[in-house]
Amino acid sequence: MEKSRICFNCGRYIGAKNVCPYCGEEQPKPIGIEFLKWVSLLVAIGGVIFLFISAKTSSAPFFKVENLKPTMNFAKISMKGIVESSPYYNEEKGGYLSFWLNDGTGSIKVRAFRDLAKEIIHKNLYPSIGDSVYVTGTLYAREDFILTINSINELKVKIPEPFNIKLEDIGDTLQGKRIITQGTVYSVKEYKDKSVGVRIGSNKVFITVYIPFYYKDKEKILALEKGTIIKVKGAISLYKDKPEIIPHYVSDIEIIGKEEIKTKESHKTINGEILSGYTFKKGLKIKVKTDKGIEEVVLWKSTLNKYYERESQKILTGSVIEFEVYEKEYRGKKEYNVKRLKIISYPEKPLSISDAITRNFGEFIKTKGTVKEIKEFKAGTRVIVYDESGELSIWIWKDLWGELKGIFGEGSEILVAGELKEHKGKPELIPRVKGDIAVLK
Amino acid sequence: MNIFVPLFISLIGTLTGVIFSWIPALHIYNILALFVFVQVETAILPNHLIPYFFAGCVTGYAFTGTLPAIYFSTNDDTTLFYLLPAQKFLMYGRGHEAVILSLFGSLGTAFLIFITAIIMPYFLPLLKDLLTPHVSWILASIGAFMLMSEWPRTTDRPKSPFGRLKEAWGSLFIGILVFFLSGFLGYIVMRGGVMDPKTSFQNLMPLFLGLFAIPWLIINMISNPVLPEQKIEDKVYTTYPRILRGIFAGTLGGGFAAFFPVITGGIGAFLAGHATAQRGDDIFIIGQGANRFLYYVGGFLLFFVPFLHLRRGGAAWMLNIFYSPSSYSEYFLMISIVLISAFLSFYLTLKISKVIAKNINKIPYKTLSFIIIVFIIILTFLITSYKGLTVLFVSTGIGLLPPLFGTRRLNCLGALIVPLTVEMSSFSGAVSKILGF
Repeated sequence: MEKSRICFNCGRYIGAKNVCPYCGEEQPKPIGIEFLKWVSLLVAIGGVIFLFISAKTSSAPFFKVENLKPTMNFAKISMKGIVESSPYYNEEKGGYLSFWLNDGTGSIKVRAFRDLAKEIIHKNLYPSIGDSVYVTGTLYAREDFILTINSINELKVKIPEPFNIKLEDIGDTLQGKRIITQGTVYSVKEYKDKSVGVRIGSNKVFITVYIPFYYKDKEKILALEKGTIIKVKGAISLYKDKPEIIPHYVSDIEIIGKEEIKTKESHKTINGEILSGYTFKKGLKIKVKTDKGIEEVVLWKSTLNKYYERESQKILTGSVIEFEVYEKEYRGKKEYNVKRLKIISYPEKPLSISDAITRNFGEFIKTKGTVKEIKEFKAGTRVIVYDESGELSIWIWKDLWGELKGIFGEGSEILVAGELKEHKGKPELIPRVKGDIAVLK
Repeated sequence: MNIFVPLFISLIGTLTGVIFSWIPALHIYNILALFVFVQVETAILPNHLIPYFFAGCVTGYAFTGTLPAIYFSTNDDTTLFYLLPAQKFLMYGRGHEAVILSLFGSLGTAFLIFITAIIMPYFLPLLKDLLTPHVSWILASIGAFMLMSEWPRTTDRPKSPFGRLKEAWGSLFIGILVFFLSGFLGYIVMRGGVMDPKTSFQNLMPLFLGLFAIPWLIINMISNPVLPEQKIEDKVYTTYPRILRGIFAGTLGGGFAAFFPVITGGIGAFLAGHATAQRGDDIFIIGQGANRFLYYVGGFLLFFVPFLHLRRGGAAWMLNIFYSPSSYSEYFLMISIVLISAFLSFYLTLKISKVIAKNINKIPYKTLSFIIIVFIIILTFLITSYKGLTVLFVSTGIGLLPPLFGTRRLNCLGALIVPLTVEMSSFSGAVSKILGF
């Protein structure tokens, strides 16, 4: 066994120390330790400088998607490809940007976080569908590969040259191609997420120009008037299997003139007895039996709430109503939207619960009962009502419950109108608007 | 799936963990890295069974990995604090007792995980939502606290005021230098692309071996300690309340380290030590055992917690290459498997400890340290090629500064704190622009 380092004064073990931690006696400095001390310092500082220069001067190796391997997790690599879809950007939680890149051998998700994502957006450096992108970043190997951009210098976007095409010649085969076309503005709509859709048309062919919410100067688009003729430069993307144009910048939309658009709204009256209906988020589709057969009308909840709030309990299966409607095209089909309505007659007496539950699903009915139980869920609230003939479950969606909460409680007697539906094999009544529920006691 | 299959695989994993973890300076993540290579090329194990193998390995390591820290003074980032009290035990011939104390801490924490498993899927996602927006400033604060809590190691022997000032600031300055040098090196390794991209899942391996393992081995070679004969009876001199206090302190530190990104077991222990101010070497060693188990195994289990799926620690990151958990049943199965592995590892570690304690006098420290250094160099070269060796060389230079200049080794954890604070802050893009990568 070799001799260990001990204090020459007190004889205790001192390891690599130069001063004995027990008696404080300075030790003769062994040349090895002294040498090691300064060599370590030199290696530490010099080595870090060397690696820094090496990192700064070397470029990340280029890889194709097909060559990526799980053992490359955390690798800094470069990739090149075409952007497959419009970038997704979310400003919440500090900022997040992602898009899919296809290099011909496969696709990979590319993303950026926080300040970098914001910088890319604010400096208009984001790619658009069809753009050619050269990107360097850190590879993350999960069940799929993801490339994370770390610096704004690591993203290089090349926008391809557009070609001219008539609006009516645009089809889904052009997906990802960059085009220039021209059309007349028919409508401008701002969506919930603050993105904007401009509907343009030419020779009765229409297409939407989509402006994502994060584009700068979006207000200029919102200010576009109906009839404005615009020239649009952008890439073709498919939304619900239909082509739409996504410009790269707002400045890709150029105003070149104006024309007057005459719109024909054809009005008519539908008179008849309600057979059944279907409630969706924003309205009701109602089947009406007329002299000419069965017609379907759309009654928007906004119209119902605005003009006929107190009348909603009268819109029931068996009610005779005169609907003033206008014709509108929706997804290529004509539909009749209710503008005004006049109730001629309706079933005044509410059904007993035992009668209500024997009616056909899809009918609009009215019943009354005492509230037995109220149970709140994430999506809505279930209210159980009963009368002497039985009990019935009423499902109130979250939005509507927000308006109704506190109006009644357990033990209240309520009058409920709504659509009778099936839920797990049992009947359930779904109120359509706030006016469908009235508290009796 | 037959429940005995994952159980069998986890037992193989436990044995693998135990067999390799008593070898000084060998980290189980290095073994798992080799496994990943083999798995990618040959698919030796079906992907859905890999988690159970990993769980066994990590649990085995959490127990048996204390042996080299206590007997051979080789440490990783979680066993930094073992060294002083453990060496004290070792010098008094009580190394085996230190091992038992540490195992108590680990086993106690395994029970704690088992007991609290049912509430974790509800509690942890809430905690994550609460903490996530604050990660960057918390990390920066921890870095600042680490530097501010350094103290001047003075003897007041120099005769001139300048001499005393130089002595007081010498170690403090080196401490700060180590923190920022290792931080900068960590940033270069993670972002600079200096490693081979084909094996970059082991980017941090040479960095950590250089910062922690090799410097200790070199110092061991220089100082060449002579150890007294060790007692090998299964007795510990402590009390149940002190065991509970140790587990409490360790759970606090290990839990924080396991849950919070970047915070390693070493930092967790450092913070918990300050927070709970426990006194006594026995409590300290028990706490370190608990801390270590929770950091490695608890951190790994976070990946399986429903609605959370946090990847913490190298094992979870490597596992995620092949597999993502998707159900409650996997989570509870994993908890049970960890508990069984923990019992097995406890028993096996005790046995190995006795063998080492019995033969510690016969082990030529200098030769052993040299062999391990050569082994580390070969392993690093095999996994990360010459580029990894360069990082190993530079990080060894940094890792040697604390023992040679008398400052804290903990400052080497700047290698993680600095780059990840930058990455999670809102100025990562700006830093990247300045540095050019």
